[in-house]
Amino acid sequence: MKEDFDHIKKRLRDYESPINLDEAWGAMQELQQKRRGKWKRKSSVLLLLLLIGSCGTCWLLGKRAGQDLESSAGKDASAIAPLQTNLSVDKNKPLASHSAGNTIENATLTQTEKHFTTSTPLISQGSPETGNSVAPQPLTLLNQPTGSNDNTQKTNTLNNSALGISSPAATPSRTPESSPASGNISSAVMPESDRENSDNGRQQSKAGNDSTRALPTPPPFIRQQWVWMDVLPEKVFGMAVRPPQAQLTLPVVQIGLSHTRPARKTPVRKSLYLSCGAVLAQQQFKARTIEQAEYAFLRSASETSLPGLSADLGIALEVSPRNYVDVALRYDTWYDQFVYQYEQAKEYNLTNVLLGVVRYEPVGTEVRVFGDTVISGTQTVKATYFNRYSAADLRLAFGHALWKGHRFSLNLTAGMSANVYKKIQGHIADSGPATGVTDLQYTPYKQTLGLGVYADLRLNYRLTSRLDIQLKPSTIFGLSDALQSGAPTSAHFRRTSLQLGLSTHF
Amino acid sequence: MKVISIFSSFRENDLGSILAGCVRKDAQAQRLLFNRCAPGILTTCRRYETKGLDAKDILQETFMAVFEKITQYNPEKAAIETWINRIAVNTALKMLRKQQPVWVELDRLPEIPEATEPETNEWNELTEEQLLQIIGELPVGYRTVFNLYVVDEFSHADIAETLGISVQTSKSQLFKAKAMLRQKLNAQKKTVNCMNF
Repeated sequence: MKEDFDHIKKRLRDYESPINLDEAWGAMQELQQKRRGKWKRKSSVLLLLLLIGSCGTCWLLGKRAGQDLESSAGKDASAIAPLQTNLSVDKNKPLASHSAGNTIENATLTQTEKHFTTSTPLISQGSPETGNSVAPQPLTLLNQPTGSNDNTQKTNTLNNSALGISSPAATPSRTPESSPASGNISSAVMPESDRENSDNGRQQSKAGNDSTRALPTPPPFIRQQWVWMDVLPEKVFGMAVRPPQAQLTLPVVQIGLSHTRPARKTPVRKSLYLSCGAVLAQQQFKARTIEQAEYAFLRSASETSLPGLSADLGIALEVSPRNYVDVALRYDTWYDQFVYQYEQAKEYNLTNVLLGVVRYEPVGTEVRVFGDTVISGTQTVKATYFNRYSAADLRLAFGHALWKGHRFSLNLTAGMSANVYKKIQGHIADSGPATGVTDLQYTPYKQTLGLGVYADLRLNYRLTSRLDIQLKPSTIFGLSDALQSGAPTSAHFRRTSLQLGLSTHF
Repeated sequence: MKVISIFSSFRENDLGSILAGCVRKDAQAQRLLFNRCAPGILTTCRRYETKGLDAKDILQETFMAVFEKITQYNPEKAAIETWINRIAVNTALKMLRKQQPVWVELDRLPEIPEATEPETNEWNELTEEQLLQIIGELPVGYRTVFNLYVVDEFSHADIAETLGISVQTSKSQLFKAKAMLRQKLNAQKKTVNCMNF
């Protein structure tokens, strides 16, 4: 039957209908313009909804993060009371540093010298001779008595590990039994009611501090994580390697402009692309391990990343209509601000002071005769770090177009990523009473190629013939350690991010 | 048209450069491709047009899809005209599907009187425009299946899958379409004879 109409088929297929080409082309252009405007309006509404959704989720997550920090701070505070007794540090022990860069090597905060020193003198616990030793009660001592100029005896050690910027050797070993001053401050100095008030006051003081601290409000769906592992000297903790002690969660928003240039002479594409955009990120610190009690005097910590820059330069070679090989160099640089508050153990030597003025908040000022007395207490210190991170990754990946539509396309890319460069620089602006502003230059990471696994999923939505909107979640899972010079620290670098950007073809 | 030809960086006969230009979304290259293929594609579109579906609308949608998907075109597999023709058919079917034509089952078909098989030269006496007109007078279901099976070389299985009908329905539609075509051809022949007489 089919053969009956073969002659019709051939004639119909070869026939060219009369058409006014100019008119038809004009009508098509007009229709295209009309649809382009329609899609632009729809896309604008979509972007607006996304923005509103993002802000809402940020707000919710920020609220939740704030609650987490509050609860963790509460736990810390409860851990302080029974644990805080005698703080001692072996100054000969090496200090580890934070593998992600928030490092103060061999840093010790001193009360009056206004700078970091490398000496780490012991913090003694009261004076047993006097019998007026003050037990390690967690009180907030706002006014330091001015009884002595012996600064070296007042030096306290900041445990950077506790703050997520690990200086493990500076971590004090807790020896509750070693406190000879079994007499406590409540019995020696304060009545029971005052002690309760003092505790309440501490809580109020803490709440006051927290209220002034800007809690991070992480964006919703963009995350970047660092997990690091500190290798600590065995003689400090009795073990060589500790499990991961803390985790930084870093949500990232990237908004950028990407350019893709296909080859001119053949329909088979060789795409050269360059994308760059701002990186907005926020991260928060949260200690997670069982050793958290070691750092009980950490009150709170928050890390807020400031806008940075991210750029990709790569070429995609198409090996088939749906498959391509992607070679790219990615460079990231961004800033962050690391703010923490901690309970600093203090020793106040009131040698030869007969009349001392001690102010217990919120009880008030109390005038007492101390004689030769040493008081240990805690002080809330707030410190701020500013860091600049730089990293370059070279990746070789294989891509596959999962779906290609009129406007939507979905590509999956996976392969290896090699971190070829990483550097962290920063300075510390300590707003606490203990130190002034100190600049600290960080040394770059030593990294043996830094191999990792890379994967991303690219969802493209065509706004116009030359402009796409791209949503790209990606992840880099580091396989090798990153070592920092001068510190027995290693780190695994793991990063997950979501990039929302614009892509232009040229 | 002449202005484009004079100042264009593309030569009309150089299909490779035109396609490369279309990949880069070059308007001149797109225009040249349109000029080259639109008349032939319009014939395909006319075969599928209905009362509510204009052939020029199908043509516009077809070329918009072509310019969107030009990166997927593989010159080793098919000629560009064939590829665009296939897109035109798919576009027409997609637009037709929105109209939801009523497919008449075989047992519900009206009786069509048997017509004598026309000679090949009788078909040849008709111009292409007359052929298109006769095909266009067929019911939508008949015409679609006839076009897909006879002209665009779809199998019955493909037609059934594409249109969402059964293979048997496709066969019956084709059978009736052919019968109706023969009937219409004979009727037209009689009309011509009467006019000559």
